[in-house]
Amino acid sequence: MQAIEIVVIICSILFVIGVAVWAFIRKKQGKSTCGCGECNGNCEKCKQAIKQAREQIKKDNEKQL
Amino acid sequence: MKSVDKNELMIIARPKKFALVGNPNCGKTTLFNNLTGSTAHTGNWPGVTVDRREGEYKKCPETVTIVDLPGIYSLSPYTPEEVVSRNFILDEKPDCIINIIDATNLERNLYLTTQIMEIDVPVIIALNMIDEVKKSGDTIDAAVLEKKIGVPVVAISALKGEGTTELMDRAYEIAGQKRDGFTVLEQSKLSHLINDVAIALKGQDIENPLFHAVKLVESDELEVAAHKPLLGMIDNFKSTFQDDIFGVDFEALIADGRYKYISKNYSTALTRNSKTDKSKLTKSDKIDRVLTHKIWGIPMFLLILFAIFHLVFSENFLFIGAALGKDWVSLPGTAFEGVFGAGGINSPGAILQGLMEVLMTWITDGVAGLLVNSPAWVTGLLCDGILGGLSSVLSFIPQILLLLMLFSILEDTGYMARVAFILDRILRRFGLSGRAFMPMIMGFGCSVPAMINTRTLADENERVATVRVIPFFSCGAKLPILTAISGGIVMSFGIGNADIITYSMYVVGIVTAILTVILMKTTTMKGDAAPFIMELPNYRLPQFKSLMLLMWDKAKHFIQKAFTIILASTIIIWFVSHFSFDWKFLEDSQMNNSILAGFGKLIQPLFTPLGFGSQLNEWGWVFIVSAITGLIAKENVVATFGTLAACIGANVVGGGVEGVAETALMIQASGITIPALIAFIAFNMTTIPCMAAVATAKAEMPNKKKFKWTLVFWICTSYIVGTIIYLVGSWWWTIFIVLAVMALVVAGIIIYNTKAKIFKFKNKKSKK
Repeated sequence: MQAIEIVVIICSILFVIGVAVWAFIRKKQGKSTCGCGECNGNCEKCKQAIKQAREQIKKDNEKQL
Repeated sequence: MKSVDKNELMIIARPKKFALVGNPNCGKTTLFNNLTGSTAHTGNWPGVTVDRREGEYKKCPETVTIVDLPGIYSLSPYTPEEVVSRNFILDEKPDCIINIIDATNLERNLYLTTQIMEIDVPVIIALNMIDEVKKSGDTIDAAVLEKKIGVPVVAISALKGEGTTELMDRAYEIAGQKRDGFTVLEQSKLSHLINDVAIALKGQDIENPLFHAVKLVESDELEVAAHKPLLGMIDNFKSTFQDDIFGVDFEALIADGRYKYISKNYSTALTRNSKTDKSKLTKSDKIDRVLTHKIWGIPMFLLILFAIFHLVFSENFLFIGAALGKDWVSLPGTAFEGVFGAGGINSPGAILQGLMEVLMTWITDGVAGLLVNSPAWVTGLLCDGILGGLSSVLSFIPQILLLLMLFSILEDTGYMARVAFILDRILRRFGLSGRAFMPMIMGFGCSVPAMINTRTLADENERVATVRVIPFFSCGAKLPILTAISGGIVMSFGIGNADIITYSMYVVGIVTAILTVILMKTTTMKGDAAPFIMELPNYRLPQFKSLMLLMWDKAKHFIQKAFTIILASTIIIWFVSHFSFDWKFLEDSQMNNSILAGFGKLIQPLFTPLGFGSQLNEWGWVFIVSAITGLIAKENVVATFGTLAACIGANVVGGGVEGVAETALMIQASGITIPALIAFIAFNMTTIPCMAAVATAKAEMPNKKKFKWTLVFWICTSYIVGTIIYLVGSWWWTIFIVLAVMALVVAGIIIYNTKAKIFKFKNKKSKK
């Protein structure tokens, strides 16, 4: 096996693992890999607030009906 | 020496935090971008921002954190994103609130100001769009307004960056200073009642007592839920009050009190241009007469959409191909052969794409030249696998950017808000409001922010239905699939125009969205559409700087994705396509025995009704694995074509090719037909979107069950749409079978709904 073959194999494996780890970390951070640049994720507090608001809206709708 | 408390240290270390608060579409995000150098998405329509966003401003003596919040009309929220703003203002205690006011709409914007002023936090008012006020001939005296309101007022133009430094300097001066809340209702009949409640709240050490007192008197639901033990006492106070006009409708009383105060005091700072003829139509009104016309509004929208696609994709620009000689622009025998046209002039988008392909070919050839003495598999991996896959995706960057720029122009001018308005009439019939169209339009850029934007929809069913159909509005990542395959069809079969095929596929996506919404709203998600009230913004010229920033931002993220996720995918695809199940290395010509081919062939029969299943020859599995890799990121579909076509090329035509030609090669190698290719595009457009969009859909769905059904919905829709296209395209008479099945489904739904109504009526009667 030539040196270039070993280098290419190691680099390829390291790169693929690196990208997988990077994508995993971004997901954990609440960021996305979609590339739109706008997914800063949602903090738990906001998610909770939205959940509450949805319930309230549902209640309001029911009240109106 | 005095010991420093840990909490005290944290307070000292925390950077100052300024919150940008204001009505929707008053220019908060534009100011945010201006102050922090960010490139957050802006648009000339209310409701672009649905989540908080942070950035840093470094021109003050210390770095300041700026928080951009979703627009709100009042501190009593009605939609989920409004809750985000209210919670931030009350719970996170910013050091200063920058209240941005649309100066062209002073009175209405000041309604929110009167509420913010009730909170014990420093407030500064940014009188935005002052340039537009001046242009109209009106004047607003910021000094008079400041005197009347009692908080600093600075006139700015966020778009032009005028007055922003003064605004930040004055905000920094007052930040952190103690300020007690003040209410304009002091002078109303309610003042005693509010003061009594505020004193009671103060006695219980509740923060912002005045704000909470007003909201409790108003019976704001969030406040009532948060201060249950105090309700008895407040009701006691309220029972002593009665108004002659409003009775005990405290919400209306408070709103009336605020507006009376605004028109009596604050509005005196505004001087209207006496020469302005109010009966005369404004420029925006005149344009609206044409663009929002009852009959011509929608055809005009479709025409504008087609013009955009023609500009980006056409290989026969302005349809003047027939008037020119074939070789006039094709430059035969040169490196640029076909770049500027072949038979017709290429559109600007097609020319840029051609130039990018030439560049990628040069790079690939250069790398292949350097690796001439390397083992064959190393050359194969680097040139065919990595460069083949990357070049097939990167060559479409110019067209993606151009298309997004043109869509952004429509959005920035305020035209998209009008389209939502004209489409409301149609969408309403199907149980959706025109507001749902805005996130759908955002879906042309990327499904992820579009799905997040559905938070502006108050009705749950409407929100779920919109999230489900957003992927049908082809995003930027799906564009390479459309362009590559439509280009491949033109190249292989010599028929049609790429722009017409691409445009038609976008229309197929929109039609599928409408039909599936009808289906959902008549079966599982019955209910009337929520009322649609939207403020139509004035027409504005798009700013060159913001357009360039948008393009740079999109390009940056596209390239980042290409060199991470897509590059890693191409490496994996190359490896699994060059190793057999017993881990033996395979030459290009033996790829049919690879792990990837084995997997593709295993599920290939499932796609036979769609035209790219068992009926294809030995290379047919490539279409299946491309569609599967597209689930990671949609660009992977074309990247997989690129990687595999570069290897297959050696077997079929004796050499690798770049860009659209890769798809043409796959068409040639697999023997796929035109209807099957169209079905393939439709399948990819309507099936499960990329992983990021799936994760967002999961987060935005009200529960897990609805998310699971969403996945089923995407799979079924794509399969059915693909099958119909293939069947009707291959055998025209099958249209009658399709129509008959559709008629049966419609009849079934009508019978079911009628029976359900009768059952409901009988139930009610028996209960009575």
